[in-house]
Amino acid sequence: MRQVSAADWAAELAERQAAGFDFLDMITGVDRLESIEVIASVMRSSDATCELVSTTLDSDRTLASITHVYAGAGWYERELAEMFGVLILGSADQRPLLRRTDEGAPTMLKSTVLGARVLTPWPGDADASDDAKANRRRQRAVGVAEGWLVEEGSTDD
Amino acid sequence: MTERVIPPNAHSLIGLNPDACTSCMICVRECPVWCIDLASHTHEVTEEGARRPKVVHVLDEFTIDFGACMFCGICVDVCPFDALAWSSGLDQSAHSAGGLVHGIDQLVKWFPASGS
Ligand code: SF4
Ligand code: SF4
Repeated sequence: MRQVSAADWAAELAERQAAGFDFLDMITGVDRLESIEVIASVMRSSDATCELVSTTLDSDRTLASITHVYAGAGWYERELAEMFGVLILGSADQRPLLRRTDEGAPTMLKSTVLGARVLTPWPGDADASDDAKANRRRQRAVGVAEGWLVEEGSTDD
Repeated sequence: MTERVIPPNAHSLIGLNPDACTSCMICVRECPVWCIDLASHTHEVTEEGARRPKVVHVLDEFTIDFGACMFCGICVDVCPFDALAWSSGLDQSAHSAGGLVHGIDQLVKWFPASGS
């Protein structure tokens, strides 16, 4: 993993491309709580060798677009904007990607409450065997914070 | 254009070995997108010479929704019984979203043959 400062992000990826990494595999974000880390995976398609480039954003959460290096980056940059609240500088297409509006908190931040995680039945909640169902304790799914769930049987009205 | 090679560690399809699966639910609970579901029942078997019957889980249904799966590999990593494995096949198109929900019959086909 090559670690660079946010200021060197675009230059580093241009360098990777010049070094033969012709295919952008993906870009994603990681919410490290105190900061957002952005990781790109680039691949040399002739022998499928991949390299990772990572940067940690400052509190302003801005990052220069790399669409002039890898055109396909636009999609992932829209994802970073929408789901991690990253402000992408210098990209032509800033439309939201999956969510219809840009309202609400970015969904991939750990601080964002995901209503669907509470409303959707969790397949892991049921013990697989019917026989064991009687005596089970309600379990909390990965991605559901303590306090999001109202315990079954508790009064909330 | 240069020839494209599929990386050997590419994440394409996940196969299930139902004989190795103990219905423990670990993969179902660890899957971040909740796209694995299973159903099983328990069944008592008395082995010869055993003092009391043994309770075994019998797997009835096991599905992975490849339409929701993000191919993270967590289920493959966490399965304590190596019942899930990556397959190199890229055969995952379907005519409808429901067609991407693969049950035991399909998943068993994606499980790499032993020794390969
Ligand atoms: S690869 Fe990830 S998303 Fe897909 S079924 Fe496994 S745990 Fe779930
Ligand atoms: S973790 Fe493995 S053994 Fe347990 S239910 Fe999933 S596939 Fe079966």
